[in-house]
Amino acid sequence: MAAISFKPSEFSEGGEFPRGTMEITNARFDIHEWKKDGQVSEGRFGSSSSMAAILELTSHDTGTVFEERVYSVGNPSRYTVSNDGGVLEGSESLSKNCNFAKLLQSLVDLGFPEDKLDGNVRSLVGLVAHWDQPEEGKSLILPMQVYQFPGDASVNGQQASAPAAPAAKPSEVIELGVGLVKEMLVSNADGATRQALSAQAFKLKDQHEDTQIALMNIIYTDEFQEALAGVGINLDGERFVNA
Amino acid sequence: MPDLLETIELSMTTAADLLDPPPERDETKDHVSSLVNEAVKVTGQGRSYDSEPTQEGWNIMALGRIAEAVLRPIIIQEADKRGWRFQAQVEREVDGIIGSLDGVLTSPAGVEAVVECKSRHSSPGDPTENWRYMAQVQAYLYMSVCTVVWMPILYLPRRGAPNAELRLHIIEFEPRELVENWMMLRNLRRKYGNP
Repeated sequence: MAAISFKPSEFSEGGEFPRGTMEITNARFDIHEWKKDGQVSEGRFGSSSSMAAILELTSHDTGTVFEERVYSVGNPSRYTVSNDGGVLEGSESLSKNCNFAKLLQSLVDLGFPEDKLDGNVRSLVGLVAHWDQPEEGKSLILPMQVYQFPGDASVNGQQASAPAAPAAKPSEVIELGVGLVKEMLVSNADGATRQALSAQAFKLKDQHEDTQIALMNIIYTDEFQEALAGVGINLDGERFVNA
Repeated sequence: MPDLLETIELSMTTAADLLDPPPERDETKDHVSSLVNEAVKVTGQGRSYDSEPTQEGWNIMALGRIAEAVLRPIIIQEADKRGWRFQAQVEREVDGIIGSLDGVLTSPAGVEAVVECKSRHSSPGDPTENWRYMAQVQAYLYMSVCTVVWMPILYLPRRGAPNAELRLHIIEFEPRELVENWMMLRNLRRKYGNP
């Protein structure tokens, strides 16, 4: 084997693989052909190709979609794949030494209920986790910490927090605020103040944080007062009153 | 016998800038820290500062920024235990007031807590007794529509044996308290803020 050159002019580029907070945004089984420097090479199973689970990972922070990650299953002659690429078919069970088995084991170790592993690789889409190398020097990356399981299964026995709704548009925030003021006037007209409306924003647990902050930002604006006036609500000092 | 060849005074501010370059600050807008300082002046709740800090003031602020940067990894570790993520240096703007938060802790459900790092030249104590700290974090919480703050404090006692201790204080407020504190800052801005 040739010695690796120390000359900077001969250094290669790339080699980095994704790590950090990423979501599985696509998944399928397919035959993967192993290549090295553009040439077909022998893979782990003494063959140049391998049946594999192929995952698309997307950075949760930047939205970057990374090159597909390959989790080998075994010799392709032993398996077939359903038409939609989701289900692996064959007479042999998965070897615990293959990389796809290591991925599944890591999910179970991190609290994913084994009975939720339904045999369809597409069921993994939606998993949000911190991914990294479990072993230095190897290119296999696995979930180290799960933030959200697909379908909101529980994390370490605790129910995962429900994802918040997407952020509302500015017009929807005004509408939300007007709705809250109407409710306050019905339930407690004397306590219907701008300050009480601010406090209401803390209770909107089902809203995206950006929506809650946007609501805080409109409470003292003329635009909001005008929207309230449009539905017959005026501001008397700090109190909302029906016109 | 060693010879002391030279002693060079280095800038604490430069040391902090090199460790953790500060985000740009828009001086045309009102900032929570400035309004809280005005609040301290008005209420007499602690020591307030003039607009231009002394050299000692700059040094202390730089130490605070250094502590903030150094404490981030342990905050990430503590957040990991709860399945949360730490997002450092978050800027918020509400009602035209700028808040520069040391960070927020998030889960898929949204913001779980605001993080405000401190360093104090004292023995460990109860930070809720520090009016300035509470006014500041309540403002950041209001701006984040969140009621819990994580306040890691690096304590450097000035009395007794030399020591350095680290505490993570987790404090929860009522929304009503946060709204009242925000009203105070809004009122102060009307009187002392940028025109």
